[in-house]
Amino acid sequence: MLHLFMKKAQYQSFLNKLVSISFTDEMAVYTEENQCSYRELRQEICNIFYFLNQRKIKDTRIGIICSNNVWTLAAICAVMKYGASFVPIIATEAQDRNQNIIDSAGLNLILSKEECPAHKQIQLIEKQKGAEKLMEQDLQQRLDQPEAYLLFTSGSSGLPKGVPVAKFALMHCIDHLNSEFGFVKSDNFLQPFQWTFDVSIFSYLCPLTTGASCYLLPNKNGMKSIQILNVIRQHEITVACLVPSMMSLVKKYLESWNDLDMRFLFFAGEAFLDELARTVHKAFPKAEISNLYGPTEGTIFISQYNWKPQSSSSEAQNGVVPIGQIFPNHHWVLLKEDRIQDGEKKEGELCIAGPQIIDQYFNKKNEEQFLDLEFNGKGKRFYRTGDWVKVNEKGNLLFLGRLDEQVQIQGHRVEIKEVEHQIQMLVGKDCAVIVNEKKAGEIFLTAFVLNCEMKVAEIKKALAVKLNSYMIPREIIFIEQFPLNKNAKIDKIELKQIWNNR
Amino acid sequence: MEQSIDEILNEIEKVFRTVFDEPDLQISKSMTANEVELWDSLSHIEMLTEVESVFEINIPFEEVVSMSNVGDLAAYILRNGKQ
Repeated sequence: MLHLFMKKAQYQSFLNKLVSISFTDEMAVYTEENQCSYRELRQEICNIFYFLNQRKIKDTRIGIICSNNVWTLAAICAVMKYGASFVPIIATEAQDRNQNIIDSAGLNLILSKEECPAHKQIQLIEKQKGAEKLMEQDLQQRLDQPEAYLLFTSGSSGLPKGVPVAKFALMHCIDHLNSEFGFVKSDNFLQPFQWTFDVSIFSYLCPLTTGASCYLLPNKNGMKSIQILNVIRQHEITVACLVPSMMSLVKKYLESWNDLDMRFLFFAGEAFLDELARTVHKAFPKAEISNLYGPTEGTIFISQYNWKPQSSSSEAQNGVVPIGQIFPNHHWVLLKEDRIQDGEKKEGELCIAGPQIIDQYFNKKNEEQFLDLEFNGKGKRFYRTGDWVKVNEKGNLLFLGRLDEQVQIQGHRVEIKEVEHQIQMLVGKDCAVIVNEKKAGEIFLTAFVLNCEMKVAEIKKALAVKLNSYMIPREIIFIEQFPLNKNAKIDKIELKQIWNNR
Repeated sequence: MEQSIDEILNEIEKVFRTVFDEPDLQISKSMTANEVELWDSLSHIEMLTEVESVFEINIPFEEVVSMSNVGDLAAYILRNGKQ
């Protein structure tokens, strides 16, 4: 009991640090169009908090229609301070998928800055009279509700899978990163990610709990990587977390780059190549470069490897930088053929237990992803990451590959089965999706579909309401019949050959 | 021999048709990424690299950032292409 009381008090003080009263005229958030000080951001937060408080909202979860503006950040902070769990929704993403998320999360209330006719639960928030009185006090939250946010990742059953992350898990991750890297008020963070991708939470919560500022990258079509480089230079960004392919695309520009402002460059979401680390190091000579690793189920990041120009190349495996060391207070084991591995150079599926790891999926689905083990005399629940790793001589973990057909596209996790399922439902024919790679290292999907009456453009258009844009195959190829392997399953290796020979 | 803006646009059109995988694509000076389905951050770099090799030029980062449509790209090539 006392333990729980302490934890709640700890979380309240974490929330008090978020857009703290002690941060005033320093810049908190800026976008291409405008900027906003901590005082102004707090005002916006109080307005939304007041709205929730006046209506005595008791909901566990509140949806937020997110876009790249200050209001979105204020809404997230207000829901956090109110004690509810936030569920980010992108209005421009696949409509049916959004509806599925709203229904399965049981959302009764969705906050939005603008009209959004697609969903009936939406509430617009106007200026609340009386909200200004809240400004100078700590906003007291309802501490009994354990969940901080609910995100949906791609699910192999064909439908999105809910990942509920606990408040203490979020606090553990953000507090650890803040103290490990020592971010300061003068830091300038970049937030380049979609709000439904958990690395975005790092990109805004670390600055907003430190008193630093955060730049929200506009969501323009087309030139994201070029835009990122431009913004990094123009706005003197000092901390950024990027997906490796974002940088490898613009490698040729990095060769003549010399940015002295960047203090920390983090890479996450995909395998990080040593060669890219070298290029980045030359372009940002003062930046500390780290590889951060973590599934959504492990709350943003769960391991870290600090890349060093003199010593790291020898540690790379197949040119890939290690994922390093698991964060403190966690336990991990490597599982191979249902047995826990030991010995020095062991390898196996990485399974992790500890404060940042979820103990169940939303609605207790996919229980097979967990492993209950006796550990030092206590029962512990381990999450099976599906990542095959090994340990090197220095005790660092190395990522070797996935155990299933999950891929990362622009950092987003995509289950090939979800894509295949949606295409099959649509065309009523068999389909197989393979993964292809461009020269620059970015991957994309190619779908093979049995000959049917629908045209490629029609299929893509229909898929746009079912799948998020990054999940839609770039190519759709019709095929008369599928090559089969000896188990009478579609032979994807052969399909890849067919694609190569085209 | 110096190319005219129309000749340049013609060459760019050929590049676009291959890179964006649309054999009948018609480009115009005002065209932007929003109008071409496969024009994303991945194919954008691919297109630029291809344009650079066809016209034997190097487009510096500052120029790449300031270009907002096909016309800007053609105008840059006209100013800086081989004489």
